Amino acid sequence: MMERRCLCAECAELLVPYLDGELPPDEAAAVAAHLAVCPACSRAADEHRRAWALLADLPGVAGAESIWPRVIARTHRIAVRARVLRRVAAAAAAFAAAVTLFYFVSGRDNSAALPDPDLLVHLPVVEQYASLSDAGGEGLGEDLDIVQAVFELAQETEDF
Amino acid sequence: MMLRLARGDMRAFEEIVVSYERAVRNFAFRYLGDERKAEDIAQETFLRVYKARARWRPDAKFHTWLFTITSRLCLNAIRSQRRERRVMRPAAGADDRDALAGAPERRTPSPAEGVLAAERAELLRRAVAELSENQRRALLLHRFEGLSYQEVAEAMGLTLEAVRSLLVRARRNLHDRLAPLLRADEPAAEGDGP
Ligand SMILES: [Zn+2]
Repeated sequence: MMERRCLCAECAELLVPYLDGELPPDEAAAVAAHLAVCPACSRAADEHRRAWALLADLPGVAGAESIWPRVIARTHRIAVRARVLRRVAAAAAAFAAAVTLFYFVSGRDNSAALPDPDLLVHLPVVEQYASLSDAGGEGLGEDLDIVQAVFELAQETEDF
Repeated sequence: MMLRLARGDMRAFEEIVVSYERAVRNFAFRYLGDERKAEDIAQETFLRVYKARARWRPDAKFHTWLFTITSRLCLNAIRSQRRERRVMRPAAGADDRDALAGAPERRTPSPAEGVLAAERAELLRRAVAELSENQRRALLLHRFEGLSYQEVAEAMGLTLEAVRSLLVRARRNLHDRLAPLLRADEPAAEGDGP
């Protein structure tokens, strides 16, 4: 063979990108030329093509019901919560300021005994969320982290 | 459609969900192996599309962007699943392949007995499930969503070179694991000799 290099050894690396049409034209031409004269690589290429085709039978989801009703319901729910929580967030900030002021004025260094300041800030939000959820008949357990998500959302999307 | 959605057109949102939900659910299901989780991820994906509608850049390819979201959510799901399992069984090794591998027995049908459709589907499912997470993700994005190597790289936050190497290894692994099917399906015309 007059080959400049042993493509068989390289085939392992080049064959897949070649089959995917992801090789630059000169490399693709070199692989094609090699496949024409090398039964082993040509057979490997054929097996790769068939393995690729077999994947068409890889099972997907069985259920055919659209998720649209659930998506739109969640979208509305989040929009409503975002609107309410935007208002609550303002109250929470005021509450946190009051708490800080109280400890400042009382002059005690009680920071070690204080709960997590983050929690203090979010507490009214959480409480409000809990009562909202109860009133709305929805389980709070559905996704508690939505409190955080919605809190961020309330700040980031004014147009909700 | 995304531009219409950005203007608040809910019909456009519905069209987006209906046209893409199947692909998104299939992707998540093939990645995670759990229909229930796949549906959660599909819902979450579209909620994120909705939330991001105002920030949508018309120059981005919607399909690639959509599957970037889905694939990140899937990755998060795998990670939290692994964390839960680690809490339950602290001694177990963090093997990312067993999540989907399912039942421990590995019966590979012999080519002689022929491969029934159900066995065939199971062999395919297992072959894909046993790929590493990154190989599986790259493969699904490329094979089923038609993303180019460059687009897979964007969706996974990897370099083009890394994606190429992942796909070479993924297809080599698949080739090995699908050997019984490849032998069973061998075209008769090819004969059996060089
Ligand atoms: Zn060769």
